[in-house]
Amino acid sequence: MNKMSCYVRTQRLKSGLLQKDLLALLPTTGRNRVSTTERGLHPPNGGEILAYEVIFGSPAHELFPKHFAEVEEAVVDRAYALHQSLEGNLDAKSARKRASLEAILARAVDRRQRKDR
Amino acid sequence: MKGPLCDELVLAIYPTPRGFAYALFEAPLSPVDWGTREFLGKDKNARTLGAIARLCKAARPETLVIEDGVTASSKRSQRVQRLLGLIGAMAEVEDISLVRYSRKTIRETFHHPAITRQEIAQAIATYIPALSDRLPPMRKLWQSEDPRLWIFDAASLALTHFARVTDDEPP
Repeated sequence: MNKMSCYVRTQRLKSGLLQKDLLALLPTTGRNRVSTTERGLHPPNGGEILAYEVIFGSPAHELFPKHFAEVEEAVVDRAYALHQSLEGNLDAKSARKRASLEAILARAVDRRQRKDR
Repeated sequence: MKGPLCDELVLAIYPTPRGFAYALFEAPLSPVDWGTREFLGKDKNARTLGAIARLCKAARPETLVIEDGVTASSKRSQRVQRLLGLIGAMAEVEDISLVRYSRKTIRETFHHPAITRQEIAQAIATYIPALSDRLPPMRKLWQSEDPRLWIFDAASLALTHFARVTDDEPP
């Protein structure tokens, strides 16, 4: 599913909150911040993402699927590049790093498969 | 109604005397956005169409569902009939698949040819809790129509579409 880029408006409508109510709940933020976030004009910052998670009780990847997918793709690309750069290093430290990076890639693949199902 | 068998972003538009109501669904039981827009004064159709175009641009629906206003049984005003035609043209330009359902089809989908709009709204509110707090009370003879009912009219169009596509039973 997850056809929308942001589900803040959906959650807000379900909870019966107005934009100004949500604005009052968010930690220091601009006047039109909720509106611009809902319309996907501006990505939320870290504090806002956590605040929305607290307010709606939904994980960030469900509230901001598009933003999450973009960040995930960037991290996976970097993890892959770092993994490639560690090829050939046989010491224990590099092996541990490689295992961590493989776990990141495996989680991303698993998430994508679950999404496609 | 069974579970969400079809995941398609469907935007249903219901023109109203003051503007339009809309309901955006990504599956039969998953509304993601709903509301009404009102425009007072002149050029109501042009302003309504502009707002619908902006909504389509923001939501990027795969299917746009509107009422079939040109059937002989349709009681929609000439202005609304013109607006429905303009929405159809806009959908073609924006390359959005357009589907039209008559009131008769909606009533049949909800199982009873004589079912009222209020009854359809109640059925929708029962099955979709997210919309239940928008359900207006039954109106009295001397009262005008509650704008909240238009949201359910839009939702009924979307649910009719899902029922037709998935052969699923509506509420």
